[in-house]
Amino acid sequence: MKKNPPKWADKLLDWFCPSELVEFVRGDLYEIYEARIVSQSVLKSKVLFVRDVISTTRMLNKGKRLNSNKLGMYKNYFKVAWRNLLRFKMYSFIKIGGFALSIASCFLISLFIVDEVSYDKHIADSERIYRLRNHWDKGEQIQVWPAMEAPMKKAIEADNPGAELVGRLLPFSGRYLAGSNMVNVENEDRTIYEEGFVYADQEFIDIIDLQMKYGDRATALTEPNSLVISASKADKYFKEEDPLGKSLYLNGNKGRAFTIKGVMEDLPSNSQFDFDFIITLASEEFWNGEQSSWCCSNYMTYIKLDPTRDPEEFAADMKVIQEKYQIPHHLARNADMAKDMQENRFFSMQPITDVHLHSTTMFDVFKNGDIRIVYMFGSVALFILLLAIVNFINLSIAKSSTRSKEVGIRKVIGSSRGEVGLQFLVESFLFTFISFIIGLLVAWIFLPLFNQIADKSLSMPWGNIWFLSISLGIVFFVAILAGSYPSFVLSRLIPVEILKGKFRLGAKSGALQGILVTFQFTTCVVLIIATIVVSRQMRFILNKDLGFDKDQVVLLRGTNTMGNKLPVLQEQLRGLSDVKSVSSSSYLPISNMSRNGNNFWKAGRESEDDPANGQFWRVDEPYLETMGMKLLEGRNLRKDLASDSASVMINQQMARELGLENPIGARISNGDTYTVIGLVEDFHFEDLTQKIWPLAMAYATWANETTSVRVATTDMKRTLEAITGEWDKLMPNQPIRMQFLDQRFEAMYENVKRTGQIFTVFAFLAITIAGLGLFALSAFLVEQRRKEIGIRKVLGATPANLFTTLSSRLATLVMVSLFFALPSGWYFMEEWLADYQYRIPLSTDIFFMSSIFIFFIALFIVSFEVVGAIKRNPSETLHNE
Amino acid sequence: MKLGGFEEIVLLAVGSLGDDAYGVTIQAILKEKTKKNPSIGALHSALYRLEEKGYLSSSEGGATSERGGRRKKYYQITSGGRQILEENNALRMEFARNIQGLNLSID
Repeated sequence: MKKNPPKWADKLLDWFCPSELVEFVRGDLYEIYEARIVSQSVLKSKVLFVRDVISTTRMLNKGKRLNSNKLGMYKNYFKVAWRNLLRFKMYSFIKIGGFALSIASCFLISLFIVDEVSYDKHIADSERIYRLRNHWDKGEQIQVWPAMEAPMKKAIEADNPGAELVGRLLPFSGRYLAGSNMVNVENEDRTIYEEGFVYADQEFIDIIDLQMKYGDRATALTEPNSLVISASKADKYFKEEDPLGKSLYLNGNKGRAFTIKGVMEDLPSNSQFDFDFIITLASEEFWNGEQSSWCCSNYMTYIKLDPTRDPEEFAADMKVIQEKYQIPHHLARNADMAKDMQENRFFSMQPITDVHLHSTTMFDVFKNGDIRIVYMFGSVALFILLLAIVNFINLSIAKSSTRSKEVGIRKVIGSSRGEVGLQFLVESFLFTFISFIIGLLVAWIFLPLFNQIADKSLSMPWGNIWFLSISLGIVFFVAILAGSYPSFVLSRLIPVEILKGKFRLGAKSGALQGILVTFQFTTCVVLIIATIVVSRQMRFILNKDLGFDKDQVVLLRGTNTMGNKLPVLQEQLRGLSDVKSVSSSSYLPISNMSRNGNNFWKAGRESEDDPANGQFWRVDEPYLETMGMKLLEGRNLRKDLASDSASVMINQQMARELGLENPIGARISNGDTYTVIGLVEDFHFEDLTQKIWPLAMAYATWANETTSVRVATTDMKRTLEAITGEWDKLMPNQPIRMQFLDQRFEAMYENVKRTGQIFTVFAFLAITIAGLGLFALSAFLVEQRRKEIGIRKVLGATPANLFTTLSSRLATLVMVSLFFALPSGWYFMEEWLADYQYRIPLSTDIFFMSSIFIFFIALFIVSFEVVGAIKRNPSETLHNE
Repeated sequence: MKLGGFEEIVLLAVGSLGDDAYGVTIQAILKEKTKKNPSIGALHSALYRLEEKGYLSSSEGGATSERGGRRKKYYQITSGGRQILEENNALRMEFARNIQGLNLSID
């Protein structure tokens, strides 16, 4: 190791110290250093030297700095850059504005992405926590679902070693008390509607590392009838009071009190879990024998593995449990199913941090994100940034002709090539830095709006050290990337030729410009195509004939607690003049309503045929009329026919899958046998990414969580008041909860809509940025050909001739970019639409429109400058010659 | 003009060093007496302020073979410097006299 103090630190002294003092300070430092290396290690002495140098920064505000040439040069670079910025205002505005816009967009999108990928990473030991999944792989049909049978937890604990903790969660809305309930606090009269109830094991809250505000987590759910509530709900019910030990009643059932054993911190927004009330599963048994039955999969099962246990091996070892419990259970009932299970069913472990972004292909309870959206937005952000960099490079090249004399003079005076190159990098840095600051401000201003559109609660990470360092890194990277080409080209110029006036932009830079502009156009066309397709698909979904009539239906929720007052309410409502029909059923053709999976066979062929996997709904007599569904054959279910307890109506899909040519009178079975009395036209009851499943409807009045009211009114306000009036007469202590069927329907597509909106905004931004760049570029190119235009005019060219001459190159570039853009746009959109069972075709007019549009935009932008140039009097441009 | 706490100590140190007061020796005596190690930047910064206020004057020594041949800057306390020290001390004594049991005399 050399014994001298570090040179770079020594040089810094010239910056830090006043010039009249620098020699003495340096002397002191060297003297101290020389004394130090005698008694201490060289490395330590060097470190201390650097520290001492840094300590002299406090003299920065005193005296004058040593007048170093280098420093002066940098100052001059900045000065010249600043003057150039002010002199060419339009050019600077576009360069900086485009950059700032792109940085703001990238920034917002990055915040979004960082938030999306941060889900559940906050859980302690999240890297060894998994969700157990079922796979049923029947060749073409692969089903994956995350729910397990009730005894699975005990089975794993007994038969599959290596799990530190196994915990179950029952979140399925409508299962017993999960979902929503009417809440009473002990000793209080008010009844309040609450959502977000789940059941869970004690182990579950240990696995997900639930943060407690009050109470001991280790024992919060160990006792039967224990309850953990969120901090915000605790505040709502027990302001200023200690909620521990207090009791809640649900749905007016005073016979069963739930005791609050803990208050959890509200779950963070970047968690897959979203609930406010956790009821313990301790000693919970929903029906006799439920906890030991392998019939039904209702429990999401989470596993924390020992650090040494491999998750894939663990999943493979689950076969033991299948052999020991699941197969014997099914063997006793349905040998075919047992065989099928043995061959095709297996387990997998999904890392808990993957659940949020990698669960779109399976049925899931909580609202999850989608990794494809992360990729989609990520690439849009990247392209926006690239477009702005392209602008920067293009404009710098275009403008280099005006800077060439400066370069010539600099070189004559003695600048080396490296110094000229550095100058342009410094300029690039200045532009980038200003854009970055403006971009951040823009992002900050638009963040609330972005949050609203994206349904997020993101905030600016001002204090985050990562944010600062990554941002600075990006500024440098972009500055170097954007500045390198101009810096390279301009520094290479030979002074004699420039100053003789011989300088011309080489053919190569023209080619590069062409490539860059083509890239911009290609990106824009793809984005335009995507925007048209996304918005058309949205409109298609929202207006599709659904097989039922979603308009003018009012939903009254929570009517299951009315008991024998419900028929009274129905009668009263039917008496209102605007009400056409009233039906009570929890099975509605919108998502987040009651559902149940059922296998149906033709009666008597249970062991021969594959079942039709469908739904079994319970409805009442006015259901079809209220929903506006069409009965194709047969008759409706009837309340007054006792025999209708064994009758069902089925949809066309059920008839198709069971192969029923004449469905009326056919007998079908799901264990019990029913006679088909009616055939209902297919209607969509899940969102349109799914096909229409087979469906059977039987008569029952017990599934009455929701009462639907079809109205025919032009004055909705008055009608709603009338309905509320009837409700209040019967249920004075329970506030009415009304929804509209069409609004619930639109809410199903909120995510798609949101994605579409964000996409459209950023696509628009990208096109704007590219358009701005093209505008400035054409301005410079036209400026360069001013004299040529003048001469052509003098020689008799018509305006039309000139326009063709000036824009033919542009037209060629657009053609070339269409060549690339149309196929890639088609490919990307096919991929995107593949997720929808019901989708628009990619018709040629989309591509045609996009092409025309881009031509129009290109010509429109260029014509600003071109028309000006053509109009100019040749004597103005040529009078110097 | 005012005199900061650190500045006062530096002024005293320069005075006590007599003819041999330059950066390294001042730092050394400060370290010895106060048990704290002021950074060389802080020290020069204080010296610069004291000279600006007229409490210190300086002279440049000759080049030697030590420290890469760089010269030293020697500081002397000026009459203004002495005066401000005396004023500060007088003020201090005036208060101290009224504090029971506090002994601030020199010996």
